[in-house]
Amino acid sequence: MLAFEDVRVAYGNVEVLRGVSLRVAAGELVCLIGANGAGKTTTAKTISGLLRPRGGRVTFLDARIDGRPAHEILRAGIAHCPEGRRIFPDMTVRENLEMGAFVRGRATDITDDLDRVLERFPVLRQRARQLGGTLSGGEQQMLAIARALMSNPKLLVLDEPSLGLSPTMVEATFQLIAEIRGQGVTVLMVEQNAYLALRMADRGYVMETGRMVLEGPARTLLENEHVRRAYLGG
Amino acid sequence: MKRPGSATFVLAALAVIPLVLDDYYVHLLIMAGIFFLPVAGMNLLLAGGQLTLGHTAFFGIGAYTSGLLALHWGVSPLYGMVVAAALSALVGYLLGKVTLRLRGAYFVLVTIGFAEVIRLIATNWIDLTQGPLGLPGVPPFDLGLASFTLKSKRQYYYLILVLSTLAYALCARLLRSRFGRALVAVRQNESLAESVGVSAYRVTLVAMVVACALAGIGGSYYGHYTMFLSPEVFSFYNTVTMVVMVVGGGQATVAGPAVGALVFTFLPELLRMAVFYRMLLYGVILLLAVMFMPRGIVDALQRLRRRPSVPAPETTAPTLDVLVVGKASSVRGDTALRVQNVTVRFGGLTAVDEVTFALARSEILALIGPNGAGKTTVFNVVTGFLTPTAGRVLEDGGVDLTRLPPHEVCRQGLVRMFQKASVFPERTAIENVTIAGYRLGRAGFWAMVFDTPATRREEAELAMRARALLAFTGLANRAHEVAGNLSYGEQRLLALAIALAPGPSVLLLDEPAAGLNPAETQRMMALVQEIRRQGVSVLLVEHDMRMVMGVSDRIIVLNHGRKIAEGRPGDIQRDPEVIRAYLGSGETDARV
Repeated sequence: MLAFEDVRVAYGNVEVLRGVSLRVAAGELVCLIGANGAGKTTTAKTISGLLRPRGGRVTFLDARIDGRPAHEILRAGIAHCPEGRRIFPDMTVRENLEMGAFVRGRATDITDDLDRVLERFPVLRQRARQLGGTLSGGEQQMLAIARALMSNPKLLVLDEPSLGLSPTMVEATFQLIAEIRGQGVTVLMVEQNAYLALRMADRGYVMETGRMVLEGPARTLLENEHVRRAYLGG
Repeated sequence: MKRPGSATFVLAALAVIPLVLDDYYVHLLIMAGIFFLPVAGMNLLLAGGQLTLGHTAFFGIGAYTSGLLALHWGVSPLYGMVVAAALSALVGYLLGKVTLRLRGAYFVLVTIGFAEVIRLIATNWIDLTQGPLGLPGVPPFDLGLASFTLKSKRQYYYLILVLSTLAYALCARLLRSRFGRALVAVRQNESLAESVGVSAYRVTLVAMVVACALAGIGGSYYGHYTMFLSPEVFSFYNTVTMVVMVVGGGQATVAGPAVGALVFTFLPELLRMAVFYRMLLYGVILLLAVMFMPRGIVDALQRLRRRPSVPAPETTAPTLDVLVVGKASSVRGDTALRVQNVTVRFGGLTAVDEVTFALARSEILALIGPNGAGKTTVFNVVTGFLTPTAGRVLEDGGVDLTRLPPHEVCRQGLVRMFQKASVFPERTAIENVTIAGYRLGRAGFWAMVFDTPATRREEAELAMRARALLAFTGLANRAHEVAGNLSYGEQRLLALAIALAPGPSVLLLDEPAAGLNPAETQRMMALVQEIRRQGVSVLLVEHDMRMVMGVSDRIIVLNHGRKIAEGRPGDIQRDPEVIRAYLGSGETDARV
């Protein structure tokens, strides 16, 4: 479904992705782990078109998407849920969700989807009229994910969904991701909580200083000696 | 960045140029010099994030003050200029005192309004100013005695060259000093600046006073040079000219105002050949300049020059011997901080409800609870960002912190690290930490202006401490990377180094492990333990249970703003109420 071939991305003169290759098949849940500064967030931003690669190819459903603007990529079916719970704090929950469907034309579809999404997130339904900024951290993360779903994506890219969440909220969030995936959405997830991420994912990639150093079935990675030492703290 | 060679060259060129130019161009150079003064002042304020569109008011006050003194009382323009600078500075101080609490567009509006008021006074106080007719016959400038009266354009040129050079040196010193760093800090991240001990209000007020004094000097010289005063000096056209100069030249850069004043004085004149299309052409050039050099000419030139050489990472980073500095390091009682019955209500919502706890000296106390339980609100109360509805916060010595502003709280030795990655995004890592060392500096305003040996020593010490702190947090090899380009986790480490820079005795950490993987979290834990070993008390908010259980001496659990449990990590982990409200089934922490 999604393929990275030898992708290179640089900030100024510093190359952050130095030839990254990666594949996500339809229906898969793939996680990307690695140390800070390894280039995980950069990878996510490159997929969604927020960054332009200086080399290599990115294809999605057999069409090249590298260099295309973010809103077109979103329209093609990739939704990016950035790290740090980025929501519109001065808009209501409902308005935030409507913004997620901004690229889609027909109002009736949107209303239907809004109902469907609110069905899945009962907390958000209760708070539909509240301003996004007044939600608690966990609710904001829910809102960010819900908003990403409003574009009806084929591929959902999640950057650090558990960041800053309490243990119970982390559990709830991961459960939610499992459900979303169960409904046929392909998920690529960047996550620091390597243990939880690998336990849930089908496959995983390990990134170090701008390169992929390991890939494989998530179970295998969980048992990998290097992964245990470097990322699981074990 | 210092290139004394090129500075000497530029000065020499400026000294020789009028000898080969005719009077018309010398006149333009004089006007550029005169405008440079208020523009350099605006630039100082812009460095602190404040745009004034009322600087003509101070330019005009300067012009009228020394003009009227000379005209009516025969005061020499030299002394008149001193009075003009003092009066402009005073008016600037008074205006700043009431308005600098405003930020952004509000401050801009107030300055526009103020300039308009001053213009109306000058227009309508006809007995004094002859209103719109203006005052002809303002005496030419002299150096205190009639026999030293300036006669030729060249003489006017050389005097303004001297004045501008002095103003340039003054601004350059200020911008490169601890004061200049504080201005940048306020512009880039005001809350963070406050939390490391910078009073945003005070530093911008100082910038305002300097800016207004410079404008007063410029205005005074302008009056005696043109020998005519009219309310025209307050025209909005002059304001626009000044803004174009400072923004086009390169705001918040040292050389920007000078380059801007020269370029945008000459440009419209050179375009005179285009006759009819002159203003149209000028407009197009301005538009293109803003599109392609949004940060001004100086910045664009620096970009061209900048070589892609990355400074070599440090091999021998200095080690840190003193974490805690100053008053904070003196040994006192065994309680570092007391929070007594603190309640915070936002409208009808009670975010924090009668919370009481004490942090012992050299203790690591964790504050945990679900998102929205009030942990960050407690931090905000302790560090002065919020005033509680009820209750008190006391520091060890008994100092009541409850109503102190954040920068005062920092001076008492309490520093926080923010929840979101909070850094000065456009500065390098090392600059970030140097900025944050503000509180440790002792150099006063004049010491910075004259760059005394003591000031230099202090600067060297601050730089050394900054390097040591980067090494301590493991960022030594990223020292010259712009903070905004660091990864989330690296920004968290930088935020820790920033929080340590003022040498706190109590450190408040808001989710230090957020965005770190387990291995990195362990390094963070080791850092926190080392910080405590050096005598710093730590109040920790964190969701990563491995970290909380691993480093804390005691834990307090908040839920819906209320303290529901307090105790040692082992007890907390078994507390049924805590498990229900917060820890959950334990699935996520299967490996704790």
